Amino acid sequence: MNTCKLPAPVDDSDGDHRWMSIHKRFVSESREKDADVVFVGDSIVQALQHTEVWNELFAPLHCLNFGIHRDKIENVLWRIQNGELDNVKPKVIVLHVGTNNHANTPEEITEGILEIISTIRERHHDVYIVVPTLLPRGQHPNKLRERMAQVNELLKSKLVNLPKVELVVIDKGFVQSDGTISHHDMHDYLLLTNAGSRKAFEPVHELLLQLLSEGEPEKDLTPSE
Amino acid sequence: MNPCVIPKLSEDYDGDERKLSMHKRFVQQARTCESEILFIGDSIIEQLQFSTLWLEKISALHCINFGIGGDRVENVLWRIQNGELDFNVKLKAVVLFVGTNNTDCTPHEIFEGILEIVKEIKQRLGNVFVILPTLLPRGQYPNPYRERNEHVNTFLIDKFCNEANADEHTQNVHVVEIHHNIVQNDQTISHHIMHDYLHLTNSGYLKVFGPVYDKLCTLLNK
Ligand SMILES: [Ca+2]
Repeated sequence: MNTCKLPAPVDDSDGDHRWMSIHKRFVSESREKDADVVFVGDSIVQALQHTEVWNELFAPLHCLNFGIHRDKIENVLWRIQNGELDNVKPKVIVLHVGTNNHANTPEEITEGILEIISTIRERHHDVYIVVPTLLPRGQHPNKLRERMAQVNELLKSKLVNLPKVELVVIDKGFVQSDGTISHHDMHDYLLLTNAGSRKAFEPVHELLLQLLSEGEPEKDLTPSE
Repeated sequence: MNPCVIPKLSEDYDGDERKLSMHKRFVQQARTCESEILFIGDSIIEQLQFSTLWLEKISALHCINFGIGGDRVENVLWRIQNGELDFNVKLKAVVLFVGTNNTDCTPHEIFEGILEIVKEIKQRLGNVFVILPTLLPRGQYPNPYRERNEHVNTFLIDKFCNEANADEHTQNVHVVEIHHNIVQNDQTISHHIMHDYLHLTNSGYLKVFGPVYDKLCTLLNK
């Protein structure tokens, strides 16, 4: 059974229920604000909101950020099925999740992402769905990096035929020639610094500008590589 | 046995050894940097370095940041026993903030763990100033984690601020009470101060860690 495809809230029975508080806030923000772009996903998305790059490049585009630290695919799936995107009419939804699904295979992660995409599509028939590739992680080469790379390869072949779904390659330029990742790009070898955010998310910003400026939906967008 | 006083390398749950990479980087930085003040602890310390307060004020005091997200008391204890306090330059102050991730420990265990770290710091660095900001409340609504952190603070204040409990470990240790005025009248915490009801926003850092900066300035006559 692919656990990525089973929508699930984060279990926090004895804790501080922060995850549910955040989810509920996102639902109410989606009612209160008219956003042209909604980012949804994991820690990478959440952390982006606290960078200069967000203030400079994304905030002016009227973006909402529904990122939650450590979220897995099944958690994002649950959030979307429970109202986070029901009261917004964005032109673009940016989806980035999968790096926290440590127990899943690349195939399962890819299928999980496809499941989220179809869940979004049921609710927003015409929205553009932008999927930045998963980033490498860890200072030195490791199995998770390999898994992320495999997911990215699978996504390339699976997303190419989906209408209005755009894969953006953001994972290049982080692994240096000696195989390491610098803390100047990822301060904890997972989350992006300002410089790292710029490197990864400038291509996303460029695509958003292009998509938002369109009067008519474009028929043939070459994937930005 | 109290798990907080048993030094422990952070678990590599993910499988990419990121925390060990960070620790090794910190050991290297300790040997080579010119910093006089060390901030050490968990994600709340780690993320402080990306705040305006840090960039515009704290960093000017020649500070270095050894925060690691998710770290527990016993992880920080392990780190300082394994090279992160081996500075080339003599440190003037250490700001220690850890404990909120020990969610399965009792308040007294957490307090004892923090005390153990303080002892270790003093043993290695002599009569350096140690600043202990109190643990912060968390969660949008009242919950057991908030109570636990509040309880740890009671122990910290009693140990380090009560003259009757003064001993060789309490000398030059300053508790800075930063946990007040975060919970609102209706008992909730706003996402404007803690974006995920745990980590501080940029303006949250200014408000909450501002007094830590002030304390450093006072102690170091800056
Ligand atoms: Ca709306």
